[in-house]
Amino acid sequence: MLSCPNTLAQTSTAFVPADKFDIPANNGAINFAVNGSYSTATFEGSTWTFTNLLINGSEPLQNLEISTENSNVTIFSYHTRILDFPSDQLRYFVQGRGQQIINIGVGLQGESNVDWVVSSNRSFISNGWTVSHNGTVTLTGLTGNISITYFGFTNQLTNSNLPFYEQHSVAIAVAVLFAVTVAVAITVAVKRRSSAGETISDD
Amino acid sequence: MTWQNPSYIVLPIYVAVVLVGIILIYRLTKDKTKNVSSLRLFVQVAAVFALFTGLVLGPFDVPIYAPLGIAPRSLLLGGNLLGNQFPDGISLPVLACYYPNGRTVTCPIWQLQAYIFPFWNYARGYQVIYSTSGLEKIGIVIGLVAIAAIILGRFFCGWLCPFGLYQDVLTRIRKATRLRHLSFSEKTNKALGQSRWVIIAVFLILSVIFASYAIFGHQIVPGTSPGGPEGTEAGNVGFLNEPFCLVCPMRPLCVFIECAVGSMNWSYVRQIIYGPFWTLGGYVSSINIAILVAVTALALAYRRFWCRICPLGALTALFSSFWPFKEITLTRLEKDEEKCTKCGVCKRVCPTQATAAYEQKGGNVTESRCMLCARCVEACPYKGALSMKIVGKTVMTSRNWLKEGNGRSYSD
Repeated sequence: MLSCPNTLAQTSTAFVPADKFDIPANNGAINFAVNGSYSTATFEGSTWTFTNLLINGSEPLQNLEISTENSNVTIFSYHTRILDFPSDQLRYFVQGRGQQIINIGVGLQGESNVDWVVSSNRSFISNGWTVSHNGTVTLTGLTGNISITYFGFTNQLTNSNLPFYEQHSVAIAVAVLFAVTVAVAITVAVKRRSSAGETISDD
Repeated sequence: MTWQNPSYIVLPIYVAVVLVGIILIYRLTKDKTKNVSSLRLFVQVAAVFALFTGLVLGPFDVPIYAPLGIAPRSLLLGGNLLGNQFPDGISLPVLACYYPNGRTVTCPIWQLQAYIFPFWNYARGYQVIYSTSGLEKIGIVIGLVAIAAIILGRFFCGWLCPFGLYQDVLTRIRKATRLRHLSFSEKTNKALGQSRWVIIAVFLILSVIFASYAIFGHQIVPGTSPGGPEGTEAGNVGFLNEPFCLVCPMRPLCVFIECAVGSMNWSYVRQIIYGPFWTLGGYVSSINIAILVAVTALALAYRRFWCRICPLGALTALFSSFWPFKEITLTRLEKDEEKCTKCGVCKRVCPTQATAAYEQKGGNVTESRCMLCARCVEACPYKGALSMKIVGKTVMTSRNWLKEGNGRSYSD
């Protein structure tokens, strides 16, 4: 007789733009620009953690940790493919010059600075933000429309699982070709000199 | 890479036409140096076709009319073969400008700059993804240029470079108007030759300075950190990427020609520079175009003017005309001292006013200014005095055209 394992229906809680997620101790608040839902929203320390966040018109975000200080954050969207590259992009609006601490769940692989792009009002920003070893982005003093995007190229493309000779096959091939070319050239040069020497020595 | 049907017909026809043409020009004349200039022009035109084959073969479904879009790159030789280790295409020491559509190889100067800045530490370039570091890519570029230079030296400059063809066409236009060319004094010409090293050093150093954010995490020049419209490729690069390309005359030349034939959008005339210094793009564009106009005027007056200061030529010469590479380079100009009468014709006809063929005693007289165009071989009136050799085999040698009595005289 077959029996089905117990399953739990996944519950979700809907939200609307009017719903505010306050951080009173930090003088900050978070809300969403559009409707959506989440599985859980927990507040610990001064950070809100949303799981299975689904913002209308966006892709699902498994885990979002966000804290804001002296500023209000309105989250617009989350997308996972920018310019046809696999990526994670969170877009939001900041009112008030404060600090936001955001983790969009890329984990330890998000450590490298070069995998992140922070832009504001259609210009990329190089100062005023940092990335920690666990992929937490801290932004200070930025206002207006903000996008933080994680591309993860260094992890996706280093092919670190491949053997060394495959990872660097082009460089190795060029080095070998260079060595062969030099060897052939030296051989030709030696032959030329020896035949020139023989010619000179002939009376 | 998608090959459209015409390529299966066009490519074999192209190869056949080029081979037949070279053979006909080469073999139909009894003396192999009689029509060197004609042969060289033919090879130059064929090379331009080869370097920008994509314009003929496509793909044509890539949006080339998107304003400020990036040139399609699908016909890059080796682009797919080399994968994301080296996706910008094979480096050849010719000014196969990075920016126009349809190119098959890539200018090494662009690559050196791009891999120093802006792509030193960014895995994403202009519509390509890199899995190698900037340093590794720079090593590959230098390796490829060195290999090409050891094999053919500055033959690339004399016979294959499209900007060289442009200047040779200007020379022919000048000759048609029966205007005599101008020559620099030896001192000035030497100074121009030495300026090549300064030019290439300056622009590579600038690339490092502008790349400081990518390399060191700190921008030395404010405003050169990554910037650009959100969501664009340039968002990952700084405001003054590839500084030499902002002044190189080949870029606007290619853009003008391709825009004129409908292969590019006229918006390309503007420099693609993003960020707060957006308007700088317009000004830099003007510099780019002004240099093209200046080089054109100078190339009309002084033969192969750009080649005297070209940093790519300098890079090629580094691996072919100086020790130890000079000792082993496979393509060389050689002189038989016993047959030379010091008539000076070689010095007179040389487009870059290289003097080694005249001044040096016998042996390898290929100097860094020599483009191996073989004008001196063609013009030298003493049989066997000058020869061009490839892998030790004589491919061209001077002939006694004075004694042939056809009244031919050489104009330079």
